[in-house]
Amino acid sequence: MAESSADTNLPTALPMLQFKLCMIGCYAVGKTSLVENFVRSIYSDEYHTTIGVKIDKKIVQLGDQATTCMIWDIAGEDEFYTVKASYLRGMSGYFLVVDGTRLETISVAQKIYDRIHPNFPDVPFLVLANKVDLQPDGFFRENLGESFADAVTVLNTSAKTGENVESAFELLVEQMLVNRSNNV
Amino acid sequence: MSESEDDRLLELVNMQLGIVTFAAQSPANSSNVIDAGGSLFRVVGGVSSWIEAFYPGLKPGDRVQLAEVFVFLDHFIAEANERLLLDGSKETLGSGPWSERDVNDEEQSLSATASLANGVMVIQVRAIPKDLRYQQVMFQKAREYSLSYERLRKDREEKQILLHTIVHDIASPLTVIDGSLSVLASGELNKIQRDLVAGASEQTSRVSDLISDVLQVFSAEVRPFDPAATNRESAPYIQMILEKVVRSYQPVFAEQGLELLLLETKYDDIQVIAESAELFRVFVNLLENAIRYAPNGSTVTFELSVRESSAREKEVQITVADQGPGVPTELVSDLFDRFSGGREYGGKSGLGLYFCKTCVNRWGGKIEYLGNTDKCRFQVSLRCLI
Repeated sequence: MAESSADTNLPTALPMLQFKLCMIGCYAVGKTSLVENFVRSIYSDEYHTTIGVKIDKKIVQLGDQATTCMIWDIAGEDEFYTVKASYLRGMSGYFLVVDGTRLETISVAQKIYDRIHPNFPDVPFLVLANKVDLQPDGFFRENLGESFADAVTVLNTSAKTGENVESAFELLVEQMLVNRSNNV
Repeated sequence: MSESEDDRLLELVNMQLGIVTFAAQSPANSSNVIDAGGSLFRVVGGVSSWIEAFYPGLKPGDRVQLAEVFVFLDHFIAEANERLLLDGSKETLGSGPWSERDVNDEEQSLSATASLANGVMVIQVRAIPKDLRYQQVMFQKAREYSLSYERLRKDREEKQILLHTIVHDIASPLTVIDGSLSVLASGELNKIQRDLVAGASEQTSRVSDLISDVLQVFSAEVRPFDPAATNRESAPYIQMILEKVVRSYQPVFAEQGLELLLLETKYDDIQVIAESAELFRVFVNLLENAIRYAPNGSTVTFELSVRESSAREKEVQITVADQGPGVPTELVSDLFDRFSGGREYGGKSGLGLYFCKTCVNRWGGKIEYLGNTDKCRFQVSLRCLI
């Protein structure tokens, strides 16, 4: 697999780590666009549905620690398709992506969370309320529902403008590093 | 067939189907599972040209660590270990489609199978299978339609809310106009002035009725199913509702030279799944239709019957019959749609039957026009509370 050229030859003081990171959520919430923005800094308004899983790679440098993120962009869930549990095997962290303009995507995310959390109780994750560029007032945490909202960190993102995309990935990598050092 | 003939056959098949076959170096079993990242696989048979984009220079017989070539296979081989080695499954395991980037950073769609041959795990990888493209187009279309539908539904909802807010706001000044006209009418007016005030007052009252119908329909559309409708404490007794309707409207019918009767009175213990106030309004709307078309001196009837709709469910059928001319044929198919029987057909706002359908459907019931062979009949079927 090719590496993004901008990411090569990064100075690393510590041995490189590799993390598997999954993008999960309802269909058409912008998971692939978030990855495209993060890995290649590109965005397209056209919608291309993902079939199965798309794998991408990006090196994230946090201080002296470089980590290779293998990003598994998993096809969105709907009435025809359920996220395959085996795709999540070995993941170190995940994003639950919702579309802030389609409230029904929140209940899909909640269902996915309820299903996978018991198997990955210690795996860090973030909720990304994407398409914030279409919501001038931002996304309201209250929309997530009380029990869910209390348990999660929510970031407003826009794959279109790039708002919070890089910081979301960095925050998750940071949490994965903390989680790793706690478990070593 | 000799080993070399086997290899030649496999090579032909691989080339034909665009498959690259990898066989694990050593036999696998439950105590010696394959590790994609650590175990070597040997390329068997021919090598399709697409593999160049992932592993330039790969030749038959080469040994590779599969997970270094295809990231996805790390996961898939772990799954194959579980299913084929630990669970002992004899099937060929499919990976489902996945995409990853080749050495030129081009995205390629792939799929793989895993099977055991003489205890050796064999992984076959295919590039861009045709069926994946069909699947992709199908999913793409289905999801695009679904998104368009959602967008349209939201747009419609927003427009409706706006429209009904405007309609509601028109109602307040209308009350003031109506009040002012009443004051004017009570004063001293000449005949022309009196006629003008009476005409204005009649028009105001028509608009008020229309607003009331529009708002009622809106409320019926947006209101969710009320669980109280299935509650024994609050679910309505159907006969009691019909008796109330008949009692309230008999004087109005008498004024028009019509008779209004409830034919059955033996179902006083039957409760139906519905909301009382709206159920009352459903029957009133049906009566308002009947009163408009029934010939002078005729009788309008409510008939009540109960039938088993399934082994565990009963339903009550209420038939409203009049001796009017019935519904014009061209109207029947859209009869319960919005504005279908409006003023051009002698109706009021064209929302009455739509309101009936919206409510009855919400309660899990049905409303039908039974035609007018001898009488004009409408039938409402409602689920009984068991």
